[in-house]
Amino acid sequence: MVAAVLVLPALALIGGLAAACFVKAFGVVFLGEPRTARAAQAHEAGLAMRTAMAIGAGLCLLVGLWPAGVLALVAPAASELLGAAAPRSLAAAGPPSAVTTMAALLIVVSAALALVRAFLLRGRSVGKAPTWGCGYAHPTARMQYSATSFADPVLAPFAAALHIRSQGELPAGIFPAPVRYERHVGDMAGERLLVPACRRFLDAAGRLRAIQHGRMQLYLVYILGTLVALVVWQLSGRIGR
Amino acid sequence: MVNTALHLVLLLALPPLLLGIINRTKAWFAGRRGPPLLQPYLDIWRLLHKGAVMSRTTTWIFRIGPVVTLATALCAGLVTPLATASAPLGFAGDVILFAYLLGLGRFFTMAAALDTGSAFEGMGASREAAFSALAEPALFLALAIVCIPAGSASFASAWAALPFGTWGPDHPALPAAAVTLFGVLLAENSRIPVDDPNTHLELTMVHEVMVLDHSGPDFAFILYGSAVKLLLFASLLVHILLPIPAGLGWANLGLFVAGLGTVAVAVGVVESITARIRLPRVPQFLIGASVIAALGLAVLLYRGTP
Repeated sequence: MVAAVLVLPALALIGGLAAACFVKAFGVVFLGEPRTARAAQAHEAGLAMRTAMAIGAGLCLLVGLWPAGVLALVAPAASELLGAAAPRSLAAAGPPSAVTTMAALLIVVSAALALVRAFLLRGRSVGKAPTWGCGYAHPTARMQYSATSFADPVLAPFAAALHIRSQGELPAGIFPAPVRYERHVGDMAGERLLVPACRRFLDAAGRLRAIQHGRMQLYLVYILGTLVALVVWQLSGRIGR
Repeated sequence: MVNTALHLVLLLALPPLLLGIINRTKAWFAGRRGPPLLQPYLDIWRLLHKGAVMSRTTTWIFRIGPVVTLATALCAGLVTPLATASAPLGFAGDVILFAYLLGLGRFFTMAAALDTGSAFEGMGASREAAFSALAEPALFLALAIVCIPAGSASFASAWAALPFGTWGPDHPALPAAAVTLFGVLLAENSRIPVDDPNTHLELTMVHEVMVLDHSGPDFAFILYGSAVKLLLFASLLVHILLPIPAGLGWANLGLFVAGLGTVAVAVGVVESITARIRLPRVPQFLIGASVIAALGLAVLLYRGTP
């Protein structure tokens, strides 16, 4: 019961955060004005590189459009690992045919609406203008939302749990002088969990280093001590029986 | 067959009417006469007959944004029951498809906003991403409350399993689901107290600011798509609050439309009597909605289904 009440919202939240993450990654990298001089010179990669990515993207599309076929490929391996219950639980994800139908329908409806749009705009004036900037006529690429600014409201509710470091100062006054401001969101699993755990382990291991000092005689004493301890342990076992 | 045709007619024809009802309600509260009830239809019609102006920065992502958003809303409408207890294309698991179709539409709206390279639209997209991520748990918890007694994640079985006397003491979880869904409805359809559809200041907008650069037919698609989304959320709420027994024939239709009108009036009343909450407070509003639904779900699971 507790699991249902906690796991369900967590999974739903992960779905929402995943959408936010991919809008950010895709939007900041590929959309809008080029953010740096080097990005402005970006050009399409060669055919071989594009083909490799197209194969991966095509397979993703296949999984989405035809999950039944992909699940049928995965089910034997899953039942090998999990026993006979696995294929049923995989199939419980929904009748895949319905998912395929809806995906196909979505594509058809989108295409139809795109045709309607093209038909409506045919012969009408489609003007080109700069992006609306609230009346400001000279927007530059630096005014765009950056990845950090996009992520800020998404991260705000979780700020207590995250390791957010910022340094520098904010612009102040009517004619602000140039300022420098940096902000980094740390890797929570790494910085809060793995690194401290590893450090503690290394500290404990470091204390043991005292017994490793390079004197051959003492190493021989360790071996002797170990052997004696083992003999005593074995003998005590025998006698006990 | 008749049901399918009726479903399509309701899905395609009804959405702007809800906006009209909300606007009339707000006008009545403000002591104005307000725009005609059918004004949203006229707005969409007018926009469909206009040309367009596009930003030079934009690419094809900007142009397919409104198309995909409207298509996802319409497809979600085909799995959401309207006047009857089942939808033409409903299946086991359609509840999840419903949520993520709307999520896909939102993804394209946000991508189209970032495509313009505008600081305002980036701001709107980032707010939308933050708020919708927090609205998702609330939506799923509320849907879980109606789906768990039915034992299936499909609207048809969930609505069939709803008791006629919803508000009886035997079903304390359903009011929690309804309250949460109403909160999600307000947030997802950019209504007060989360967002103000009438604001004219870019800095305070959430949804409106993402679509600033769309014009003509594109903007008509956006308006219509958001009206369809409002209709879908309102119809979920109507089915929970007013479980319509099957086989009433045309009376079903009347009850359903009256229920939709009531939800629209309720949205208008909320918009008239509450102020918008500050943007940093919106996560609290959404998390609060999730907590209400989580409590309802806990009660439901603790008591077991009667």
